[in-house]
Amino acid sequence: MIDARVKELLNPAVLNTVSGLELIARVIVEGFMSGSNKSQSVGSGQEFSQYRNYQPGDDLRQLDWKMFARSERYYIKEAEIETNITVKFMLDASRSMAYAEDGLSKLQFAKVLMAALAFLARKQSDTFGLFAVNDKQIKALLPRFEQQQFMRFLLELINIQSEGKWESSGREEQLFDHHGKEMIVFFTDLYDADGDLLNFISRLKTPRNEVVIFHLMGKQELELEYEGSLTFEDLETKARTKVNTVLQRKEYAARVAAWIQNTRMWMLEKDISYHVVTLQQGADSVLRDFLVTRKRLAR
Amino acid sequence: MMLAQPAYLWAFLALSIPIAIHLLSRKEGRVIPMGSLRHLHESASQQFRGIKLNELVLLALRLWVLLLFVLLLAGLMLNTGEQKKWLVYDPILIGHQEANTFADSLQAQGYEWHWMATGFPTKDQSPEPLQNYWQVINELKTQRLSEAVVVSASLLKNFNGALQPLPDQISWQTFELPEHRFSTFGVKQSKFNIVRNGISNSSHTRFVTDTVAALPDTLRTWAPIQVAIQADKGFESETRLVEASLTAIKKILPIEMVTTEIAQADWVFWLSGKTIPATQANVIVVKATAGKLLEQVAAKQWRVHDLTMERAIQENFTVQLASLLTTHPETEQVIAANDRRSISSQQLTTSTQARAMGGASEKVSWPLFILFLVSLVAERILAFVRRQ
Repeated sequence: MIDARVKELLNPAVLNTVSGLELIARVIVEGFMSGSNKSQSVGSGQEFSQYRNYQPGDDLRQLDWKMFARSERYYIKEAEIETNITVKFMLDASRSMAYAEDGLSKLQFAKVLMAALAFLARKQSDTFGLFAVNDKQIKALLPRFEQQQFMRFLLELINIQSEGKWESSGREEQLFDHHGKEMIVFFTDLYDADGDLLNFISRLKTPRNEVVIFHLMGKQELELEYEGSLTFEDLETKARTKVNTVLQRKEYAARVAAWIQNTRMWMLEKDISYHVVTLQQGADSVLRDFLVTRKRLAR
Repeated sequence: MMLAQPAYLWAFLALSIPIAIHLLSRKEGRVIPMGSLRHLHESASQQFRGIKLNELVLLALRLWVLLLFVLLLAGLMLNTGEQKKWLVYDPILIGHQEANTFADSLQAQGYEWHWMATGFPTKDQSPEPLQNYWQVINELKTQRLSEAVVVSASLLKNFNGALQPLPDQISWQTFELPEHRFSTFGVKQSKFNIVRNGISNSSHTRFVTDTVAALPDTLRTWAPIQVAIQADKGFESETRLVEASLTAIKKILPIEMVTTEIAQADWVFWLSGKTIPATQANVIVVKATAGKLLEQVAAKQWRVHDLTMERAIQENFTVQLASLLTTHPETEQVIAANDRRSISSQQLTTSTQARAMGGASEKVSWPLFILFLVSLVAERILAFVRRQ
């Protein structure tokens, strides 16, 4: 149901406007957030939740002294816990992200997922920023906690083009921050030169932060379901190769599966959360899966 | 299997076209953009790497379609039966040297020897002479032969009826019999004996009369024709005319004619009003009534009407009478048996070729055509699926 509505919205006319992208993000997030309970844990925060009687062992800092003055009873003031983490969205903006299946490119799909996640982050009053990286430029929207941040974020997002390739240029040094507690969500297709991307990812990861990798793949990329002898062209290098798909399909699928498996093991070693996403999956189901997994890990 | 236009077999050269296409084709199909080619390996589909043909199945199918097309052009006739080539030999030509040489050369080419007779007996059996060629040809048509060569004397007498076109697979060779001289009959006369000889060859048959001292024993001779005339009053002029005619016949024709009594006569001329007595003889009744000059009224009875001088001259009464009196069925048979007039093979085949030109469209082999269409559709579908 929601999937169908989202799919209808996933066309360039809607995707390439700020309000359209926001609409998509809202539809996706509210679609799967509807009916869910608010944060189950309570503690200190801005939003008042309830008073309860003091019990020995409670933090005295949470005691409401004004209440004690009025009623001479000890009350603990409770509020919903607010997580104040910084979410850094990173996007591989290399040319290979322009790979499209069924009219939806990896870049567009990544934009939709990022918009939805950003919408969610805003709802939880998290700070979020955006970094789009390729070898020509690094677009950066630094994380800020502001009302306009989401709109700015969307505007930056729709202006991102997939161009150039991913190559280590030294400029991405600014992206490495070893201080704050942050969460980095990185959308990429993991096509790079000489393992630059993995190197980049491993440098992103610090003991204090959390790194989530969304690996975008197409179904054809995974299974090579084309028929006959075809010419394939590399989007980044423009190199061409003629391939008999019928003969190579099995080997190809095995090679790709092995590659993904190796990457998964590598990520696991580095304690990086790794998600393979195909373009055929619905954006909302991808997010739901992601969030459910996260919640399970958090407990 | 037979080809109507073997010249079209040159079109088989067209088979080299798809082979060349498949060999030289480095055509890149649809170009599909990929994020990276790292997992794709260049397939060994480069045709120059050895003679490795791309899409072998498609190539085979294309060759097959072309093959069928060429065969269709060449007019292949599919015969379900096995390939049989017959040499049909006219028994009349036994001993004919030229025909024999021709037949031997055909046999060397794999033709099977059959006599031209009902049932087509093989060479070791003895044939019966045939009477009608058309009957044989019709029988030959039902034999499902790929080819038949008829070696025949093509005697005119054996072609009963109009010339029919020959089927394409039957070719007709006429070998003329040499000129042949034969005796039909002899006549004993008082002074000398007469032999009537016939000379027949492929173009004509003629007769000559020879006089001999003694007749050979084998020769058929005719006994004198016994003629009796019953002439009554009132029939004087008719009697004179009949007698004059008989005298003329006796003088001109090499036969003997004797006048006798009615009882012994072969022929009785009845010029009388009386009733005719019962007799074994042929009776010619002369009457004054109007009617046909000479007509047969019963098995052994003729009637002459209104015989006058003018009418007798005008309608050749003497000739009519002579042919009536001197007809011998045995002689006819002898002449027919020795008649050697023939029809040339050209006369027989020109009609055939005219038909072959006109009837070319009938020769489309439908199973072949359907097979061709099916193969063509299959080729198109495969080409579409393989995107070649």
